Parts: sequence; structure tokens; C-alpha cells
Amino acid sequence: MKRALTREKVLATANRLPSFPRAIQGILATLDDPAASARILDQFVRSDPAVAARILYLANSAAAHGGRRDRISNLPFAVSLIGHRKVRELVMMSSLQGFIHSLAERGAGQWLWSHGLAVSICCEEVSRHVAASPLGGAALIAGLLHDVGQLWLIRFEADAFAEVQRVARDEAVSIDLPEKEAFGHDHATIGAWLAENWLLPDPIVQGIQYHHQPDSALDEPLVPIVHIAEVLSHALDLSQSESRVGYLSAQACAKLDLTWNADSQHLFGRIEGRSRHANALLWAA
Amino acid sequence: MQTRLSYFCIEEARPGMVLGALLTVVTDGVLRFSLPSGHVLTEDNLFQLAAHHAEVIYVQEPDPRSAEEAEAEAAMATARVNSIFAGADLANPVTAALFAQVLRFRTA
Repeated sequence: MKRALTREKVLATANRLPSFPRAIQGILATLDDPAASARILDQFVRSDPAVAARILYLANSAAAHGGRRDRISNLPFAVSLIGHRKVRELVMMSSLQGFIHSLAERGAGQWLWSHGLAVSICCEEVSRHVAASPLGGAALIAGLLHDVGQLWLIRFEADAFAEVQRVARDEAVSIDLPEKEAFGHDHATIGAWLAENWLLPDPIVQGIQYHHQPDSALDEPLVPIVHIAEVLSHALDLSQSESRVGYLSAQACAKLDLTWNADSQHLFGRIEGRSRHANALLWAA
Repeated sequence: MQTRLSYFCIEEARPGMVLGALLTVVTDGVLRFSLPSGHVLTEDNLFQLAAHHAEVIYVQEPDPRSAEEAEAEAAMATARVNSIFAGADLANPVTAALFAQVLRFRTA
């Protein structure tokens, strides 16, 4: 091992990282209280012009395609038209998009955001496909942040991580293997340490921690989902990066009672339709 | 003209599109809205779908490609899927099943 990273060493850098978005904490804290959740969303939507613009865009787009000629400029009406769940999703994605880009260095933000967005959509659609509870948006956050440990490595261990990436590419192995060799831990563990430090709920922390090795934590609700979602994002070539399917856990598929058969075509279609739309919406603003 | 099936987000939907499958909107276990396969979408339908927070529709689109063009596209898609799965363990039945379904999806 070339250098041993520890939890303490990683978390000692926390004060040099941008603050984790308060909107996410607020949404997660009020998932069981729809009225409080609606208030939090309303505050956030009113205070963030980019989110407000995206909501108005979505509402006007839906209304225009339905033949409505007048333009919607009333934010509460726009929110009611596109729905609470979609607004919550948009607020979470928008705030994490800004966070990931502020966290990223050396041009890594775009790639990791694009990959995280693809995995988050796969997480939600796999949850829906197997009728698992999406845990009120937790699957989406786990998907967006599953590789946040790589952002940390790029920021604080840039040269060593570049070498790790080279080894993974040249030897065609999963990146967690040379990461463990170089740092003693992989990006999944580093990401889980960060997620814990940001006080994210345990299912999200576990989903990040075990996304490459789900078999050791299959009872954690998000672990099989994030693992399968990441494999699917590669299989469907959704990220703006090199897609490569490696290990797919048969146990994770069995845990979700997920079989790859003719029904999978609908799952793939939904994922692709939503990914195309989310990319257009979130890159346009 | 031949047709092909594609998924669209509701914001991408247009009047005149033909549904490729039964479309249902279910909220809290209650069926709120449905349209049959083969239905031609109207402006009213699109506003109703937006109001019911539908997200994705399955549409039968005209396919203007010739047989040769479709075959060439399928060959390129097959090469891409093979490349993505080049390092995967296709002896594992679960991975092999995923590979087969992705190949089918990309070459449909």
C-alpha cells in the first residue's frame, strides 16, 4: 500500500469542502410530514431562481403541449401542475448538481455528475420496477452521491488517483481494486465516511459504502438497488464516460426478485426516456 | 410505413403520437387515468396527463429507415453492447440474461 487513508484523515479535510446543501437535510428530515415537506420545498423554490425557472419551464412545457396558449408565471400553480414529487426531485437534483460541481476539481464534476444522475434515475426506476419503496427520494440521493469518494480522491490525492485510474483502465479491473491497493480503502468507503459526516441517513450511507460489494450488506434496503443501478447505467451506456459492465451480483438481483426478461424492456425504456429528459433539463438551465 | 416503439417523457409528447401500450396513471394505488394502446394523443390528453403527473409514455413512432439502414444500425448497436460487456462474466447466468436483454433493447 502506497499511503494509508483513514477516516480521521479524510474527515480532517471536511472544513476545506463546500457545505453540504441544507435543502437535502431539510427534505430528508420532513419526509414523513407532507405539510412540513411542502413548506421546506416552497421556501427552497422561492429562494433559488434556477430551481424556480426549471419548475416554470416544466409546467409551461406540459401546458403548451396540452394546447394551453397563456404562459404560466405563477409558481404555486406551476408546482401544483407538475406535482410535489417531481418538485422534490428537481430541488434535490439541482442542489446536488451545484454541490458536486463545487466539490469537483480538474474537470471531474461534469463526468461524475452525469454518471451520478444516470445512476440516480436507475435507482428510482429499479425501485419502482421491483415495487420496492424508493425511501422518499433516498434512492435518488444515494445514486447521485455514490461516487462522491472519487471526487474526494481527485481533490486531495490527484496524482495517486490518476495512477489508480490508469491501472484500472490498462488492466481492465474494477477501480475499487487498485484504490484499495493504493489507499487502503476504496472510493465507496471514503464516500460513506463523507456521507456520515454530512449526517445523511444510514440507508444512503450503506448504499454508497457497498455499491461495489453488495453481497456483504444485502439486508440494507439501498445496497442492492444502488449496485444494480450502477451496473445498469453502464449497460445502457447512459453516462458521458467509458461504459463498462463488470461484476453484477446475482444475490443482489435475487434479493430484489429482479429477473432480466422481456419486462426489462419497459424498465430500460423508462430509464432512457427519463435520462434524456433530465439531462436536457438540468444542463439547459 | 413501418413503426418502432419508443419511450418519451411527458414533456416530449406531442398531439398525434400513437400509444404503443396501455397507459395508466396510478396514485396511491388508485387508477387515476388510462388510455388504451393505439390511442392517438390529443392536446386535451396531454394536458390531462400533465395534470395527473404522468411521467413517461410508450409511443409507436413511424420508422423511416430502409431495411439496410436498420440492419446497419443494429450491427453498430451490437458492436457497442459487446464492447460494454467485454469484461463481464457472461458465464454468470444473471449477467448473461442482462446482456441478452440489453442487446434486444438496442437492436429492436
